[in-house]
Amino acid sequence: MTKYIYHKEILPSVLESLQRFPEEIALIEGFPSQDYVLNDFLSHIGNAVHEHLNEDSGSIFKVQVHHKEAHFSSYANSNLFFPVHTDCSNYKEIPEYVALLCVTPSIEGGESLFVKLSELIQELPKPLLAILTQKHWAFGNVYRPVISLIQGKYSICYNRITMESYTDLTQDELHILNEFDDLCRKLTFTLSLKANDLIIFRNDLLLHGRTDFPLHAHRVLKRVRLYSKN
Amino acid sequence: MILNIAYKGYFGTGEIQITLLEDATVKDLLTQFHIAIEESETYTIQGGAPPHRRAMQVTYDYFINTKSVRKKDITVASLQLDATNTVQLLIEKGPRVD
Repeated sequence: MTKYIYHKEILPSVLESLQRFPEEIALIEGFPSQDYVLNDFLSHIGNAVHEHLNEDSGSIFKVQVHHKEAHFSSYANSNLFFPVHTDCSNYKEIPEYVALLCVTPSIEGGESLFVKLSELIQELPKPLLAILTQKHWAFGNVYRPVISLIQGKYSICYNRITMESYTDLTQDELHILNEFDDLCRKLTFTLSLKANDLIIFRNDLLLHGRTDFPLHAHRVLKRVRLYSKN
Repeated sequence: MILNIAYKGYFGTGEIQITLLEDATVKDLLTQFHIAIEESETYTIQGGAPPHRRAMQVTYDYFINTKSVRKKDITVASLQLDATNTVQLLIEKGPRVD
Protein backbone atom coordinates (compact mmCIF):
# COMPACT_ATOMS: atom_id res chain seq x y z
CA MET A 1 0.00 0.00 0.00
CA THR A 2 1.19 3.49 -0.83
CA LYS A 3 0.07 6.07 1.70
CA TYR A 4 -0.37 9.81 1.14
CA ILE A 5 -1.74 12.76 3.03
CA TYR A 6 -4.01 14.88 0.88
CA HIS A 7 -2.78 18.19 -0.46
CA LYS A 8 -3.61 19.99 -3.67
CA GLU A 9 -0.49 18.80 -5.53
CA ILE A 10 -0.84 15.14 -4.61
CA LEU A 11 -2.30 13.94 -7.91
CA PRO A 12 0.91 13.36 -9.95
CA SER A 13 2.39 11.18 -7.19
CA VAL A 14 -0.77 9.08 -6.98
CA LEU A 15 -0.94 8.67 -10.76
CA GLU A 16 2.67 7.58 -10.90
CA SER A 17 2.16 5.11 -8.08
CA LEU A 18 -0.90 3.57 -9.71
CA GLN A 19 1.03 3.16 -12.96
CA ARG A 20 4.24 1.81 -11.44
CA PHE A 21 2.70 -0.41 -8.78
CA PRO A 22 -0.64 -1.52 -10.21
CA GLU A 23 -1.29 -4.09 -7.51
CA GLU A 24 -0.74 -1.63 -4.68
CA ILE A 25 -3.60 0.23 -3.03
CA ALA A 26 -3.21 4.00 -3.00
CA LEU A 27 -4.43 5.38 0.33
CA ILE A 28 -4.90 9.13 0.63
CA GLU A 29 -5.66 10.34 4.13
CA GLY A 30 -7.57 13.53 4.82
CA PHE A 31 -9.33 13.60 1.46
CA PRO A 32 -12.07 16.26 1.27
CA SER A 33 -15.57 14.86 1.48
CA GLN A 34 -17.16 17.07 -1.18
CA ASP A 35 -18.38 15.16 -4.22
CA TYR A 36 -16.99 17.67 -6.71
CA VAL A 37 -13.48 17.34 -5.26
CA LEU A 38 -13.70 13.56 -5.46
CA ASN A 39 -15.04 13.57 -9.01
CA ASP A 40 -12.47 16.08 -10.19
CA PHE A 41 -9.58 14.16 -8.64
CA LEU A 42 -10.70 10.81 -10.02
CA SER A 43 -11.34 12.23 -13.49
CA HIS A 44 -7.54 12.32 -13.93
CA ILE A 45 -7.33 8.60 -13.20
CA GLY A 46 -10.15 7.28 -15.35
CA ASN A 47 -13.59 7.75 -16.77
CA ALA A 48 -16.21 7.28 -14.07
CA VAL A 49 -19.03 4.81 -14.60
CA HIS A 50 -22.42 6.53 -14.40
CA GLU A 51 -25.17 4.19 -13.24
CA HIS A 52 -28.83 4.59 -12.32
CA LEU A 53 -28.19 3.07 -8.90
CA ASN A 54 -25.80 5.93 -8.07
CA GLU A 55 -26.79 9.23 -6.47
CA ASP A 56 -28.70 11.19 -9.16
CA SER A 57 -27.55 8.53 -11.67
CA GLY A 58 -24.09 10.09 -11.45
CA SER A 59 -20.73 8.55 -10.63
CA ILE A 60 -21.02 8.21 -6.85
CA PHE A 61 -22.69 5.30 -5.10
CA LYS A 62 -23.14 5.42 -1.36
CA VAL A 63 -22.17 2.10 0.16
CA GLN A 64 -24.39 2.14 3.22
CA VAL A 65 -27.20 0.14 4.74
CA HIS A 66 -30.28 0.87 2.66
CA HIS A 67 -33.63 -0.86 2.61
CA LYS A 68 -36.19 -1.31 -0.10
CA GLU A 69 -39.52 -2.57 1.21
CA ALA A 70 -38.11 -4.23 4.32
CA HIS A 71 -35.30 -5.86 2.36
CA PHE A 72 -31.81 -4.58 1.68
CA SER A 73 -31.65 -2.81 -1.70
CA SER A 74 -28.63 -4.88 -2.65
CA TYR A 75 -25.93 -6.97 -1.03
CA ALA A 76 -23.64 -3.91 -1.05
CA ASN A 77 -26.39 -2.05 0.83
CA SER A 78 -26.46 -4.61 3.61
CA ASN A 79 -24.35 -4.95 6.75
CA LEU A 80 -23.32 -8.50 5.86
CA PHE A 81 -19.84 -9.89 5.36
CA PHE A 82 -19.08 -9.36 1.68
CA PRO A 83 -16.70 -12.05 0.42
CA VAL A 84 -13.80 -10.74 -1.66
CA HIS A 85 -14.95 -10.01 -5.18
CA THR A 86 -14.54 -7.97 -8.34
CA ASP A 87 -16.95 -5.09 -8.85
CA CYS A 88 -19.15 -5.20 -11.98
CA SER A 89 -18.36 -8.86 -12.66
CA ASN A 90 -21.53 -9.04 -14.77
CA TYR A 91 -20.46 -6.17 -17.05
CA LYS A 92 -19.04 -6.90 -20.50
CA GLU A 93 -16.15 -4.54 -19.75
CA ILE A 94 -14.99 -4.48 -16.16
CA PRO A 95 -13.88 -1.10 -14.79
CA GLU A 96 -10.15 -1.20 -14.01
CA TYR A 97 -10.32 0.97 -10.90
CA VAL A 98 -12.48 1.28 -7.82
CA ALA A 99 -12.22 4.27 -5.49
CA LEU A 100 -13.73 4.23 -2.00
CA LEU A 101 -13.91 7.33 0.17
CA CYS A 102 -14.74 6.61 3.78
CA VAL A 103 -17.28 9.13 5.05
CA THR A 104 -18.19 7.38 8.30
CA PRO A 105 -16.48 4.20 9.46
CA SER A 106 -18.23 1.64 11.58
CA ILE A 107 -16.97 1.69 15.16
CA GLU A 108 -17.11 -2.08 15.07
CA GLY A 109 -16.45 -4.28 12.02
CA GLY A 110 -16.79 -3.08 8.43
CA GLU A 111 -13.07 -3.49 7.75
CA SER A 112 -12.01 -3.61 4.10
CA LEU A 113 -10.58 -6.90 2.86
CA PHE A 114 -8.20 -7.42 -0.04
CA VAL A 115 -6.49 -10.25 -1.88
CA LYS A 116 -3.76 -9.71 -4.47
CA LEU A 117 -4.06 -11.64 -7.71
CA SER A 118 -0.29 -12.23 -7.91
CA GLU A 119 -0.38 -14.00 -4.54
CA LEU A 120 -3.32 -16.11 -5.66
CA ILE A 121 -1.45 -17.12 -8.81
CA GLN A 122 1.58 -18.12 -6.71
CA GLU A 123 -0.42 -20.17 -4.26
CA LEU A 124 -3.09 -21.77 -6.44
CA PRO A 125 -2.59 -25.49 -7.00
CA LYS A 126 -2.00 -26.06 -10.72
CA PRO A 127 -5.21 -28.06 -11.33
CA LEU A 128 -7.31 -25.33 -9.70
CA LEU A 129 -5.50 -22.58 -11.62
CA ALA A 130 -6.17 -24.50 -14.83
CA ILE A 131 -9.89 -24.69 -14.08
CA LEU A 132 -10.08 -21.02 -13.17
CA THR A 133 -8.29 -19.94 -16.34
CA GLN A 134 -10.03 -22.30 -18.76
CA LYS A 135 -13.60 -22.75 -17.63
CA HIS A 136 -16.06 -19.99 -18.54
CA TRP A 137 -18.34 -19.19 -15.63
CA ALA A 138 -21.62 -17.31 -15.77
CA PHE A 139 -21.64 -13.86 -14.22
CA GLY A 140 -25.28 -13.06 -14.87
CA ASN A 141 -25.48 -13.13 -18.67
CA VAL A 142 -21.74 -12.73 -19.20
CA TYR A 143 -19.47 -15.77 -19.48
CA ARG A 144 -15.77 -15.52 -18.74
CA PRO A 145 -12.97 -17.29 -16.85
CA VAL A 146 -12.23 -16.26 -13.27
CA ILE A 147 -8.58 -15.69 -14.15
CA SER A 148 -7.52 -14.53 -17.61
CA LEU A 149 -4.07 -14.42 -19.14
CA ILE A 150 -3.92 -11.92 -21.98
CA GLN A 151 -0.64 -10.82 -23.57
CA GLY A 152 1.30 -12.20 -20.63
CA LYS A 153 -0.75 -10.35 -18.01
CA TYR A 154 -3.15 -11.95 -15.58
CA SER A 155 -6.44 -10.37 -14.55
CA ILE A 156 -9.24 -11.57 -12.31
CA CYS A 157 -13.02 -11.43 -12.29
CA TYR A 158 -14.70 -13.12 -9.36
CA ASN A 159 -17.92 -12.55 -7.49
CA ARG A 160 -19.20 -15.62 -5.73
CA ILE A 161 -22.54 -14.04 -4.85
CA THR A 162 -23.29 -13.08 -8.46
CA MET A 163 -22.13 -16.48 -9.70
CA GLU A 164 -24.24 -18.38 -7.20
CA SER A 165 -27.35 -16.22 -7.10
CA TYR A 166 -28.02 -15.82 -10.81
CA THR A 167 -26.97 -19.27 -12.01
CA ASP A 168 -27.56 -22.79 -10.78
CA LEU A 169 -24.11 -24.14 -9.95
CA THR A 170 -23.42 -27.84 -9.59
CA GLN A 171 -22.00 -29.38 -6.41
CA ASP A 172 -18.70 -29.86 -8.25
CA GLU A 173 -18.62 -26.19 -9.21
CA LEU A 174 -19.45 -25.12 -5.66
CA HIS A 175 -16.66 -27.34 -4.41
CA ILE A 176 -14.20 -25.62 -6.76
CA LEU A 177 -15.33 -22.19 -5.56
CA ASN A 178 -15.09 -23.28 -1.92
CA GLU A 179 -11.51 -24.34 -2.52
CA PHE A 180 -10.78 -21.00 -4.17
CA ASP A 181 -12.49 -19.09 -1.34
CA ASP A 182 -10.42 -20.99 1.22
CA LEU A 183 -7.25 -19.81 -0.48
CA CYS A 184 -8.61 -16.26 -0.73
CA ARG A 185 -9.26 -16.31 3.00
CA LYS A 186 -5.67 -17.35 3.71
CA LEU A 187 -4.30 -14.53 1.55
CA THR A 188 -6.69 -11.81 2.72
CA PHE A 189 -5.30 -8.69 4.32
CA THR A 190 -7.36 -6.12 6.18
CA LEU A 191 -7.54 -2.36 6.07
CA SER A 192 -9.47 -0.27 8.60
CA LEU A 193 -10.48 2.97 6.96
CA LYS A 194 -10.87 6.21 8.90
CA ALA A 195 -13.13 9.08 7.95
CA ASN A 196 -11.75 10.90 4.89
CA ASP A 197 -9.50 8.03 3.83
CA LEU A 198 -9.67 7.54 0.07
CA ILE A 199 -8.43 4.27 -1.38
CA ILE A 200 -7.94 3.62 -5.08
CA PHE A 201 -7.16 0.15 -6.34
CA ARG A 202 -7.20 -2.02 -9.45
CA ASN A 203 -10.46 -3.91 -9.71
CA ASP A 204 -8.93 -6.47 -12.08
CA LEU A 205 -5.82 -7.16 -9.98
CA LEU A 206 -7.20 -7.19 -6.44
CA LEU A 207 -10.30 -8.72 -4.94
CA HIS A 208 -11.98 -6.64 -2.28
CA GLY A 209 -14.65 -7.23 0.35
CA ARG A 210 -15.66 -6.24 3.86
CA THR A 211 -16.40 -7.76 7.22
CA ASP A 212 -19.83 -7.72 8.89
CA PHE A 213 -20.77 -4.64 10.87
CA PRO A 214 -23.72 -3.76 13.15
CA LEU A 215 -26.92 -2.90 11.31
CA HIS A 216 -27.18 0.57 12.84
CA ALA A 217 -23.50 1.50 12.57
CA HIS A 218 -24.11 4.28 9.99
CA ARG A 219 -21.08 3.15 8.00
CA VAL A 220 -20.90 5.17 4.76
CA LEU A 221 -18.42 4.92 1.91
CA LYS A 222 -18.61 6.78 -1.39
CA ARG A 223 -17.75 4.50 -4.29
CA VAL A 224 -16.67 5.43 -7.80
CA ARG A 225 -15.79 2.91 -10.49
CA LEU A 226 -13.46 3.99 -13.27
CA TYR A 227 -12.51 2.80 -16.71
CA SER A 228 -8.86 3.37 -17.42
CA LYS A 229 -8.11 6.15 -19.89
CA ASN A 230 -5.68 3.83 -21.65
CA MET B 1 -60.85 -2.61 -10.87
CA ILE B 2 -60.11 -5.68 -12.91
CA LEU B 3 -56.79 -5.91 -14.69
CA ASN B 4 -55.74 -8.40 -17.30
CA ILE B 5 -52.00 -8.95 -17.03
CA ALA B 6 -49.76 -10.54 -19.62
CA TYR B 7 -46.52 -11.33 -17.85
CA LYS B 8 -43.15 -12.52 -19.05
CA GLY B 9 -39.63 -12.75 -17.74
CA TYR B 10 -38.30 -14.76 -14.83
CA PHE B 11 -41.56 -16.64 -14.22
CA GLY B 12 -42.07 -17.47 -17.90
CA THR B 13 -44.99 -16.14 -19.84
CA GLY B 14 -48.68 -16.20 -19.04
CA GLU B 15 -51.86 -14.23 -18.63
CA ILE B 16 -53.87 -13.69 -15.48
CA GLN B 17 -56.67 -11.50 -14.27
CA ILE B 18 -56.56 -9.77 -10.89
CA THR B 19 -59.06 -7.66 -9.02
CA LEU B 20 -57.90 -4.62 -7.09
CA LEU B 21 -59.56 -1.93 -5.00
CA GLU B 22 -59.91 1.41 -6.75
CA ASP B 23 -57.26 2.99 -4.51
CA ALA B 24 -54.83 0.04 -4.77
CA THR B 25 -51.14 0.86 -5.06
CA VAL B 26 -48.60 -0.59 -7.44
CA LYS B 27 -47.30 -2.56 -4.47
CA ASP B 28 -50.79 -4.08 -4.05
CA LEU B 29 -50.86 -4.94 -7.74
CA LEU B 30 -47.54 -6.73 -7.57
CA THR B 31 -48.47 -8.54 -4.36
CA GLN B 32 -51.70 -9.76 -5.95
CA PHE B 33 -49.75 -10.80 -9.02
CA HIS B 34 -47.38 -12.93 -6.95
CA ILE B 35 -50.29 -14.47 -5.05
CA ALA B 36 -51.99 -15.27 -8.35
CA ILE B 37 -48.95 -17.02 -9.83
CA GLU B 38 -48.08 -18.58 -6.44
CA GLU B 39 -44.52 -17.27 -6.41
CA SER B 40 -42.68 -15.40 -3.65
CA GLU B 41 -42.17 -11.64 -3.99
CA THR B 42 -38.50 -12.06 -3.13
CA TYR B 43 -35.59 -14.26 -4.06
CA THR B 44 -32.39 -15.20 -2.28
CA ILE B 45 -28.92 -13.97 -3.12
CA GLN B 46 -26.17 -15.86 -1.41
CA GLY B 47 -22.58 -16.88 -1.60
CA GLY B 48 -19.27 -17.35 0.10
CA ALA B 49 -17.64 -20.36 1.63
CA PRO B 50 -18.23 -21.21 5.30
CA PRO B 51 -17.76 -19.56 7.78
CA HIS B 52 -18.44 -16.42 5.73
CA ARG B 53 -21.40 -17.72 3.79
CA ARG B 54 -24.31 -15.26 3.87
CA ALA B 55 -27.76 -15.07 2.31
CA MET B 56 -30.43 -12.40 2.04
CA GLN B 57 -33.75 -11.76 0.35
CA VAL B 58 -34.17 -9.16 -2.38
CA THR B 59 -37.03 -8.03 -4.59
CA TYR B 60 -37.47 -8.44 -8.34
CA ASP B 61 -37.35 -5.67 -10.92
CA TYR B 62 -40.65 -4.89 -12.65
CA PHE B 63 -41.59 -3.13 -15.85
CA ILE B 64 -45.21 -2.18 -16.53
CA ASN B 65 -45.90 -1.49 -20.19
CA THR B 66 -42.10 -1.31 -20.72
CA LYS B 67 -41.64 1.38 -18.02
CA SER B 68 -39.47 0.51 -15.04
CA VAL B 69 -41.40 0.46 -11.77
CA ARG B 70 -39.50 2.73 -9.42
CA LYS B 71 -42.24 3.83 -7.02
CA LYS B 72 -44.57 1.22 -5.62
CA ASP B 73 -46.47 3.43 -3.18
CA ILE B 74 -48.30 5.29 -5.94
CA THR B 75 -51.81 4.23 -6.93
CA VAL B 76 -52.41 2.00 -9.90
CA ALA B 77 -54.96 4.60 -11.06
CA SER B 78 -52.16 7.15 -11.40
CA LEU B 79 -50.53 4.94 -14.04
CA GLN B 80 -53.55 5.67 -16.22
CA LEU B 81 -53.65 2.14 -17.55
CA ASP B 82 -56.21 1.50 -20.23
CA ALA B 83 -58.60 -0.96 -18.56
CA THR B 84 -59.67 -2.30 -21.95
CA ASN B 85 -56.10 -3.34 -22.79
CA THR B 86 -53.99 -6.04 -21.25
CA VAL B 87 -51.23 -4.76 -18.97
CA GLN B 88 -47.77 -5.93 -20.00
CA LEU B 89 -45.69 -6.92 -16.97
CA LEU B 90 -42.03 -7.89 -17.22
CA ILE B 91 -40.34 -9.44 -14.16
CA GLU B 92 -36.57 -9.72 -13.95
CA LYS B 93 -33.94 -10.61 -11.41
CA GLY B 94 -32.13 -7.30 -11.49
CA PRO B 95 -28.55 -6.95 -10.32
CA ARG B 96 -28.66 -6.80 -6.55
CA VAL B 97 -25.12 -7.67 -5.56
CA ASP B 98 -22.62 -4.83 -5.84
